[in-house]
Amino acid sequence: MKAGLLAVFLFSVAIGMAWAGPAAEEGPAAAPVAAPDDIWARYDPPVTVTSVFSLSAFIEDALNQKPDVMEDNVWTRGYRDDLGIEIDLLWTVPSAQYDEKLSIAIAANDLPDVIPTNAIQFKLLVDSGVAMDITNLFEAYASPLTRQMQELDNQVSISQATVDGKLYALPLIYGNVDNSQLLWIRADWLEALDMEAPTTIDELVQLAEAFVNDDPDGNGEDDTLGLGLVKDLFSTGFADLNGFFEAFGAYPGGWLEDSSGNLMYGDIQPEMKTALTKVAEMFEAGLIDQEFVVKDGGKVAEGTTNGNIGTVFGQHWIPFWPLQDGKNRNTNADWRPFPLPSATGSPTKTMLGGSANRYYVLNSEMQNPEAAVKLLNYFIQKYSSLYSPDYELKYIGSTGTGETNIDEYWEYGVIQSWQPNENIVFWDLTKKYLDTGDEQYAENSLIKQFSVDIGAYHEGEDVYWSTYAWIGPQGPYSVIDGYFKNGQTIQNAYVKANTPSMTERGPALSQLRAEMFTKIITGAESPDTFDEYVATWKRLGGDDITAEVNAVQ
Amino acid sequence: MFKLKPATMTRFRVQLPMHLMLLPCVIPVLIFSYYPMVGIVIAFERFFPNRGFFHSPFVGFKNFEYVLNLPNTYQVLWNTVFISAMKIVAGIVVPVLFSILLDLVRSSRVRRTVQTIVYMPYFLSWVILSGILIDVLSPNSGVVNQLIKMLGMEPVFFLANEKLFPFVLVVTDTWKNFGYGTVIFLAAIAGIAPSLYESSWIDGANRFQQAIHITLPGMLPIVALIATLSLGDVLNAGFDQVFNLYSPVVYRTGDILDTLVYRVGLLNSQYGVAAAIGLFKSVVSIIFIGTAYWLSGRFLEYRVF
Repeated sequence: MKAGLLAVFLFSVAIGMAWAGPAAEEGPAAAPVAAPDDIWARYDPPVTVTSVFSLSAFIEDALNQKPDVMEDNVWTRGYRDDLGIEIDLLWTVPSAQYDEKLSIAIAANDLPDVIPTNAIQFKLLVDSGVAMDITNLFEAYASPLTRQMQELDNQVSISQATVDGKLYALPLIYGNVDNSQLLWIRADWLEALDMEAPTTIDELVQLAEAFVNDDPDGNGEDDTLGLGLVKDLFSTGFADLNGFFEAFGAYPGGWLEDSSGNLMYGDIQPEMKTALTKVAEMFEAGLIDQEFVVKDGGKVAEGTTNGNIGTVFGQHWIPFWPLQDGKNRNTNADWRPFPLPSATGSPTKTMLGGSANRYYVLNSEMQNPEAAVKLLNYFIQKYSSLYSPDYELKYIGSTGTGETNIDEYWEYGVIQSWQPNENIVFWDLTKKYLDTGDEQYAENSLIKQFSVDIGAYHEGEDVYWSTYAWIGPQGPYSVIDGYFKNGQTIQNAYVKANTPSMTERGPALSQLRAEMFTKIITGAESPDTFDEYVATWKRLGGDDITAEVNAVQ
Repeated sequence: MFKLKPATMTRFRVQLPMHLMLLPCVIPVLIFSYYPMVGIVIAFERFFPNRGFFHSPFVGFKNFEYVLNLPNTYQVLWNTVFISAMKIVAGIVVPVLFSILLDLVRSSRVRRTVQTIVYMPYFLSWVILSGILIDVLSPNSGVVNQLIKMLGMEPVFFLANEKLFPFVLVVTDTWKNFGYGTVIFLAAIAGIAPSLYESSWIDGANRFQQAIHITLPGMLPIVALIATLSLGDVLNAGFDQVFNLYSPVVYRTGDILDTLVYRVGLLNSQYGVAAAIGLFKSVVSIIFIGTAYWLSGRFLEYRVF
């Protein structure tokens, strides 16, 4: 790092200083907001709300066809005609560069009224007093449907946007059903060896042994592995160990309630040691890549693509990346999701984490802040195909079919929030539509699109496999639906922003975990060093973090 | 009031156009290199970007205390110095030797071809090279270990071996960068007066003796310059390289200041801490550069100003 991240940083900060005006020490105290007569009242004359926007690949493409599409689309027209709100986008940038661009804008204190942020930027804006306290505002202006969405979400995302009891952002509800862990296996390998998907960890070990030793791909070479694993070990969503550990009742990075209602950290519970010992055994037996300590997700993906790996733990999205690449190369590669096996005898519970995907922070200098809540209400009213009587297809649009106009798409919404469980419902509707052909299930254009893609896959077009494997009848949501029906979920008890000790001690502690766990798995240290790790974790600030988390809760 | 001597005035007038021509370069340097130095103040603050330098709370040396109290700081500091010191030495010795040897080659076509080939890895980023190295150094399928196995020895897992990892860093870094150094040193060799070689040839010196007694001393000022400049890098052990190659099993010997800053300062938005470490690095660098510059001025009579 010759020039240095730091140099870049100092530079951007210097710019920040140049433009930084006098700033408030603390956000203004929230005044009580009187309940309005009509939360849908149209502004006359219209008001202007400024924001910034992250352009998806779809919108970038749309801009080529219609250069003014960001100023004139189905949402901006709706905002203007129905709400009397004009949107003024200070800047737009391709989504890959968005976080960086916004960080620079934050450093320069050159911020719009509505600031879409990630979790870290959200915390920064709250700490520095930019974020407006909107507790009372939201209470006064949220529509019934908006409230219903929060309830469906179990208030998880609202709690993530709350600091010290005050709401500081409108969260984009993403829905934490998608946090669920799954076991993905090459079904064609299972069939070749005449085996069943494992329901216990012992069966998983047997399966891994068979995949390593019995040449499941039938190419006569000793080139297959038992279980794909990335060097990060946890929370990558692909080829990590979260699902494996959950089978033992161990929740890495999660917070659990003990019998007296206090929160305790998952990383230091005795179940972790049992799970680690098992992984170490599998590594010792050669069932895990002996070189996993240097392999990141991209490297492990080469293994699933080349057909060396037939088992990984992962989340619902991995058909799109990297499994589709394997399908493109080998049409027989038949990855399927299965419920997590169990090591304890009782059904495994998968951990659900946070649900907010983006935080719409309102600038404390914003005029008419209630306009932002109105924008949120409006989006939910027009978008929520499963719950809203006012839902209109043109606000969602349909990708790929060419039936709808390029400026009619949900991504243009300036403040968005999705239906918490919408992927499960989409899966359910798609299945019903495919089974019955009844058009009532395909009112939502997405359902039709999914079934068209799945049909194309069945006709032999492998490029559509990922849609089939993601939302198809036997896809991950069939498993996730089962988790919910059988009570096989557990909510992470702490999903809020980092406490001060987490920020200060977190890096050292996560380094400690990575070092200890990797060494235990590779056999460089015995599993008994886990006890030592627990003691060190507590001493290096873990106890402070636990105390703070319990105080916040 | 003092008066400039007429001679100085004339010189100034003569040189004025030159100074003016320099101005377009000096202004950006002032804006982009000197003005941002004000940002050093962040190292003493709990910094909030929107409040700027003047309104963020001042915390004195708290950020420095925090860094010193992290459990691994001293180990990391040692790793950094150890790795970069070896890199600096190897990064001078190897290209110097290589350029002298290359200069001994008679055919200019061979010379130029070799020079271009060894220069090439310099243009690859560590992101790409790390992917290649992980494959090349793989104990199971990598080329290097295939060779080791052919010699009848046990394969070595270079990237996961605590003891070897720093040396892997040094060797791969030298391999990537020595082509660049070679270009500079070859240019230095080209600048040596041919008459020296001719007269030594008449005196009966062979090519090897010429290399020892003419080429090497002739290169020395440039070598001193490069060494001086690289001393400033003594706390830069190479973020891109380490970040792309390290893993938890080699943290103990492979974790360096920059990767620590990345994890502590940037991933957690602790800008004050990141700036504190940066300031510390800069202070150490300026001490080293200053000393080396003084030494090279004293003993090698090499001066910039």
